[in-house]
Amino acid sequence: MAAPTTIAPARAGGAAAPKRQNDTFNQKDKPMQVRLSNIAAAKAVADAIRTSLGPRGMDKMIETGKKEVVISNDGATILKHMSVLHPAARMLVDLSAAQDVEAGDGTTSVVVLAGSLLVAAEKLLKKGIHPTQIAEGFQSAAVEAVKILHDISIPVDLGDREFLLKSATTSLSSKVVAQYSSVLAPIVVDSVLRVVGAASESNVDLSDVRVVKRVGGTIDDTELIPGVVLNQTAITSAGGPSRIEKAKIGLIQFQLSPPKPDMDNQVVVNDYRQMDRILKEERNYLLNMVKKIKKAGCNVLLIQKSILRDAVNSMSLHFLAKLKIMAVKEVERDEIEFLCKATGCRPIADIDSFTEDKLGSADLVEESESNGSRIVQISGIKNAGRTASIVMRGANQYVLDEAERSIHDALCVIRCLVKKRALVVGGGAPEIEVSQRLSELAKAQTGFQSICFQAFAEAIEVIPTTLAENCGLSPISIVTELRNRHANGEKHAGINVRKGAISDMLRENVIQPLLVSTSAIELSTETVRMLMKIDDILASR
Amino acid sequence: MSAQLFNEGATQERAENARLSNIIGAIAVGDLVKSTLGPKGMDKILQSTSGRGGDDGLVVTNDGATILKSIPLDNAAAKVLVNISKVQDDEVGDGTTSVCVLAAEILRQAEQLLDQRIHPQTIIDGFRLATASARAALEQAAVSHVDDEKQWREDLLSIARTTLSSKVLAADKHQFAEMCVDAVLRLKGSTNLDRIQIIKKAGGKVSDSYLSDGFILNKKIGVNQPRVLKGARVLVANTPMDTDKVKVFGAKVKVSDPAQLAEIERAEREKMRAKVQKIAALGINVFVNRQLIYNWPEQLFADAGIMAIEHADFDGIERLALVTGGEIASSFDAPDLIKLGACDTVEEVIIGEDRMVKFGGVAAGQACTVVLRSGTNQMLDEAERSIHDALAVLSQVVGEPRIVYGGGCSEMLMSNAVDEAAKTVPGKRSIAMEAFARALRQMPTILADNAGLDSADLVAKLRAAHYEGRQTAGLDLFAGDVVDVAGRVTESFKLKRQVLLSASEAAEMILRVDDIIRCAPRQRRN
Repeated sequence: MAAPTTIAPARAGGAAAPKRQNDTFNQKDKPMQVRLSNIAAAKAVADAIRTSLGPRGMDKMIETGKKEVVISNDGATILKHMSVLHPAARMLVDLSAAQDVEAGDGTTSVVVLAGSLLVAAEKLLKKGIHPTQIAEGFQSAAVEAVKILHDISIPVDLGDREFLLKSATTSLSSKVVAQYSSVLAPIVVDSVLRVVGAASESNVDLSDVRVVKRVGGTIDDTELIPGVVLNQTAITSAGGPSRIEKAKIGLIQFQLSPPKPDMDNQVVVNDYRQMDRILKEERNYLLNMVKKIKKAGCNVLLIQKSILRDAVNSMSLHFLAKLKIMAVKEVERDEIEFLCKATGCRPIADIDSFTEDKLGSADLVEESESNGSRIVQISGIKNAGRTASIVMRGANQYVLDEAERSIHDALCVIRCLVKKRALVVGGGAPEIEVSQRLSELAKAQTGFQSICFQAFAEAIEVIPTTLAENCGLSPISIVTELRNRHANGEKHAGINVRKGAISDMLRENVIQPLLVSTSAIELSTETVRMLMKIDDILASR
Repeated sequence: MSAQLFNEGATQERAENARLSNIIGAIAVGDLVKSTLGPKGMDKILQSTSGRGGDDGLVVTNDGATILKSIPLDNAAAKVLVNISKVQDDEVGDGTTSVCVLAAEILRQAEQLLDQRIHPQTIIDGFRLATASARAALEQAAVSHVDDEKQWREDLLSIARTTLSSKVLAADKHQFAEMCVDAVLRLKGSTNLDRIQIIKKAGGKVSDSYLSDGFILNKKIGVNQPRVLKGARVLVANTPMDTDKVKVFGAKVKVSDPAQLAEIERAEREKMRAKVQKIAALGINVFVNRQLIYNWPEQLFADAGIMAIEHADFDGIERLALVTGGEIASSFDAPDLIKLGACDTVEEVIIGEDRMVKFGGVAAGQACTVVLRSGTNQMLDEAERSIHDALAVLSQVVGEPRIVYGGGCSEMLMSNAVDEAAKTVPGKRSIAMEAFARALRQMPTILADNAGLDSADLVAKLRAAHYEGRQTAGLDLFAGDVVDVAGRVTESFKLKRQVLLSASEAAEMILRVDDIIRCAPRQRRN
C-alpha cells in the first residue's frame, strides 16, 4: 500500500487553498525568500559600519531623534543610535551590544564577522544545503576556531605592565583619540590595576572607575587623579571655603533647610510679631544643625540631592561658610556607594547620628580651576578603598563623549585580560591563522561539514580584508600575501597599517585580549545560527 | 423568500460551506506551525504590528504555543487549534506544535472522507475507535524505569535532550539537559516550577549559562551593609519604610511656629526608628522589602548589622518567601505571627556587569536558579521558553514516569495498531479509522520533510520495520535513516497521550459543526 503517495496530492491542495481564502495568512512569505531577506538586511547593517573597523576606520555622524549629534567610531554606539527596523537587522544590533557587555571592545568586528558569515551561508543555501546543517557546521567550525585561538594565544601576567599598555594602545588606535594613546593608555592601565585587588580576582567592576568629563583644554590634559574627583563643585556663593587641609569628610543624606514633615502642614500666623519669631526659630534650627556638624569635627560636607525639599538654603550655607565648612551639594544617591568606598566615610541620614566615626579623612580637599572649569579633588585619603578617578578634558562635547567611549573600550580590554589572562596579536593575524587551520581541518572531513568549515574559513578573512580596504591597501594582494606568510609559519604576521605592509605584529606591539577575539567568533556564530533557523516572519498582535 | 433572521451584518455559513471553511482554517494553522516540528524544524520571527518597535516587538521562536497565541486569527476553527495548543502548554508544557499539527492532519483526512459523502458522525465514530486503539497501543508500548535509578536519570536526560533538540539550545543540549534534570530532581516530585528561577542576562555565550543552587535576586545590597552573611535569617516584607503616612485625604497639621514642625519631623523619624527596632528585634540579619527603604532606615539597618535590600519586585519577594520558607510580612507588632525565612549564605555575586544577591543553601532545599547568558535578547527569550518547556515536561515525567520513544516511533506504532483494528471493524467506520492511521503517519512524514529528507521512502521503511515487529524503530533525522531509537529519542508518555487525545477531540469538535453564525461587530459610535 502506497500511503504516502495518496497523501501527497491532498497536502498540496490543502496548503494552497487557505492562501486564497484567508487574508490572515497572505502576509506569510516563502521560507527561502524570508531567509534571503533576513540575510540581506543583516548584511546591510554590517556593510554600514564596516568602514569604521581598524586604525584607519572612519567615524559616523548620527543625528538622533532628539536632534542631538553623535559622532562615533564605536560599533555598539553607532548601531544603538541607528534605529533599524528589520527584525534581522535588530538582532545584529543586539549582537553588538552583547559584545559590548562581554568584552567591551570589538563591537564593530563582531557585526562585520556576522555579516560575512551570512554571505557565506547564503552561498551554501543556494547550493541546496539544509539551513540547520549550515547552522551545525558553523557551530562546530566556531568551536574549532576558538580552540585554535587558544592555541596561538600568549599567556600574560598582570604584573607585566608593558603588555597591558600595548593592548590598551591597540584598542585606542582605531579611535578618535589615537594620537593621544601614549597619554591615555597608562591612565587606563593604572586605573584598572588600582581597582583590581588580589591578583587572583577574575573580574573587575568598572563602576569603581569614575570618569569625570570637563569641556576645555585638550585630551592631552586628561589625567588619573590620585584620590577622588567629584562631579560637583563646591558652593562658594555664601563665601564658603574651597580649600580645606586635614579634611574630615561627612556625607549627609538629610537636608539643611527648614523642617518639613511628610504630613501636609500649615504654619498659622495670628499676628505680625509671630513672623519675627518664625524667622528666628528657623535660624536657630539651622544654626543648631550646623553647630552639631562642626562639633563632630567635620569640615567638608557632601550633601545628597533631595527631590522633596531644598538640600540646603542660603541661610544654612551662610552658617556653613561662617564655620569654615566646605559644602558640596547635589550628590546623587547612586554615587553614595562609590564615594563611601573611595573616601572611607559612611553616609549619615540623621543629624543626631552625626558622629566623628562616620567621617572620612583626607589630607586635602581642594577646588581647583583649570581650562575654564572647576573640579573638586580629594587627595591623601586615609583608608581609601580601591577606586580610581579620571578627569577627562576635550575641546568640545563630541570629542569628549567619543573619548569617553574610547576610554571605556580600553578599560574593558584591560578587564578582559583580568578575566582571561591571554593575548593574541592584532592586525588580522589571528583571523588568517584560524582561517588557514580551519581549511586544513575541512580537508580532513567529508560531507556538508567540510563545506561549512571551508566557508567559515573564508568568511573569517573578512577582518583582514576590511582592515586592508579601510587603509587604502589592495585587499587582494595583502590578504594573499598574509596567507602566504602564515603558510610559511609566520603566525604573527599581520597588516601593519602605518607602514602599509605586512610585518610581525608582536614586534609592532599590536596585541589584543584573547577574550575579545573568542567572544566575537562565538557571539557572531550564535546569531548567524539563529538567523539560519528562521523560515518565516509573521505579523503578531 | 426567506425572512431575515439575524441582525444586519450577521452572517451564516451552512453545512458543506461551514465544514469546509472550518477545515481549511484548521489546516492553514497546522501548515503554519508544522515547519517548526522536530530537530530540524525552523524558527519564526514574530513582529508586532501594534508595537512601535523596541525589544518587545520582536520575538524569534520555535514554540508552537507562543507563535499561535501571538498571531491574530479570524477563523473559528483556527482559534480552536490555538486553544488546544494553549491547554497543552498549561498541562504538559511541550508538544504544543505536535498537537496542533496532528489535529490539522486528522482534519485533512476527514475532508477527503467528506468528499466521498461519508457522514460526519460516521467519521467521528471511526475516529473514536481509532483513538481508543491508538491509546491502547501507546499504553502498551510505554515503559518505566523508575526503579533503576541510573537508568531513570538517563531517561530523564534523554527526554530533556529530545525536547531541547528542536529548540534554539540544540547545540548545547547535553549541557542544558543536565541542568534541567538537576533542577527538576531538586524539586523532589513537586511540579511547582516557581521554585526554579530563570535569570536572563545579555552578554556571554549560551554555553556560559549555568545552574546555581539557591535563589538569585536582581537587586543591590544597601550601602555599608554586610556583603556576605552566613546563617542568614531572612525577613521578607512589603511595608512602607518612610513614615507611616496618615492615609486620610487632606490630613493636615496646623502649627504656629517652625519649632513645632521640627518636633513633628523628629517624631516621624522616631516612629521610623521604632519600626526599624521592631524589625531588628525579630533577630534577623537580612531584610528584603518590596518597597523603598529610605536613607535613614538604611543607615539604621546598617548600624544594626542587617543587610537591607529595597525595592525587590513582587515576583522576587514571593519566590524568595517561598524558597526561604518565610512569609511576607507587613506589620511587625506581633512578632510571634511572623514567619522568618532562613538560608545558609547570602552573598553578592556579579553576573555580566551587574551585581546581584544570591541566597544560597535555602531552607526549602529545592530552589535553584538557572542563569541564562546569550548574545541577543531574542535568543535569551527563546532559551527561556525552551528551558521552561523542558522543565515542565520533566516535572510531569517525575509524576508519571512512563516513557515512550520519539522520532516518529510511537506515531508509527499507533498508526499500525489503528490499521490492524480497522480490519476488524465492519462498515464505513473502518475507512475513517484508516484515515486516522494515515494522519498519524503524517507526523514522521513532516519530521522527515523538515529535515529535507525523502519522506515517502523513509516513512515506508519505518512502517515496514514496525510490521516486522521492530517496535522501537524510529527516524534518525541526522543520518536520514531508520534506526532503533530506544534510549536515544525518548518522550514522556503523558505528553504523547495528551497530544493524541486533545488532537482527536479538537478534530471531532470541528467536524461536528455544521453551521457558523457570525454576529455583526458592535457598532462604535462616532
